[in-house]
Parts: sequence; C-alpha cells; structure tokens
Amino acid sequence: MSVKKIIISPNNIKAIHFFEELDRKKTELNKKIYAKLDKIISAKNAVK
Amino acid sequence: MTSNYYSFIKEEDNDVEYTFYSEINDIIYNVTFSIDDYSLYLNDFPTLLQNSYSFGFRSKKFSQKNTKKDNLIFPTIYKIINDFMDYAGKQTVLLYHCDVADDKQTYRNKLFNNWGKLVNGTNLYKHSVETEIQKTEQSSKINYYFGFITFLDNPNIDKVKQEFESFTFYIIQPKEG
Repeated sequence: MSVKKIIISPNNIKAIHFFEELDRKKTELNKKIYAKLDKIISAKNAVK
Repeated sequence: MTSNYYSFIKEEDNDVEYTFYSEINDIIYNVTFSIDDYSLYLNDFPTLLQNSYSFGFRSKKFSQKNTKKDNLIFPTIYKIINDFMDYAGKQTVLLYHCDVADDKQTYRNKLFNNWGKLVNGTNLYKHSVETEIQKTEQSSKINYYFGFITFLDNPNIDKVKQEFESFTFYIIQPKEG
C-alpha cells in the first residue's frame, strides 16, 4: 500500500509551515529564473 | 519514445539549469535541479538526504501566439533528466512539488501525470502524493502535489520508496517547538 493523499488539518501548524516554506523557496527561484528568461526574450526581440 | 528533442543548454552554478526553446509555440523553458530545497527536512531520511535534488521547470512565452500541442517537450525534459542523472549518478532522486502561487497547481499536476504515463515507457519511476490543506477553519482548501522521480534501476529504489513513504508520515506528525 502506498500513500496517495494527505489531508492537513488547520491545527497542524508545522505541516502548514513546511508547505509554506517550499512555496517561499519556489517563489524565490521563480523570481531569479523569470528575470533571466525575460533577459533572453528581450535580447531575442532586439535582434528581430 | 521518440529520439527527437529540442536542443538545450546546460549551466552550472549552485544549481544546475537547462534551457531550451520551443519553436512551435515560441516558448522558452527552463529546467532546474537544486540541492537545498528539502534538505532541512530530510535529516531522518538518509537516502533522500544524500541523493535528492529539487526538480522544477518553468516556461515563458515570447509572443501571444496560440499554444499548440508540442510533442517534443516531454522527450526534451526526459533527455535533460537523463543528462542530469548521468552527471549526478544513478542513485539520484528528484523531489518536486507543483507551484501553487498562481493557483494552477492542479493543471500542472495533470500535465505532470500525463507525462507520468509517458514515463511508463522509459527507465524512470515517478510517484506523487496529493496534499489538501485548509490553513484556517474559514479559508478554502489548497491542493499541493509533491513527489519524486528516480531511475527504475536506482540501486536504492526500495529504500527511496520506503523513506518517501515515511517522509509523508513525518509531514503529518505534530512536532515539538
């Protein structure tokens, strides 16, 4: 048997923090990557 | 599995990044492998702690062109994963969770599951878990999707499955402090 779904109750603050922390890290990385992709797009558009 | 895929570039910093461009849809894709996203939580799971990377991908459209089905995206990402695993080793585990910031995580998970069907014809193993969170009694539920990808012939695959399962139990346990 393998775990398919987890349901986190509002009082499991630690579990909620775990997912919030993952989100925070993802948002940080997204910012960096999207800035880089924007630069590539601008450079490509500039040579069109 | 088609052997056709998009050309890509690989860059290394603290993370390893790959970038490729889809001509059909005028979209640029970025695939990242980062080390420390989950490490803080994996102290009790030595196989995952030693061998896992956080896996993620993003895309950005160059123009407002309508998006068509692009059959080369999965083969390209598959090729990239293989390239990374060649570099990092057969025992590598890729942990992922779908971004929830724009509320499109269910769509992302569906896309990932479709790729999961394609993964069935490859040397990769994918496992995912849905998590439903209601942050307060009043707030609406948010669905998170997280899981892992590894090689079918990862010598530690049974240990990885077992530790990931224990990790899900670890997440739901109330902790001290």
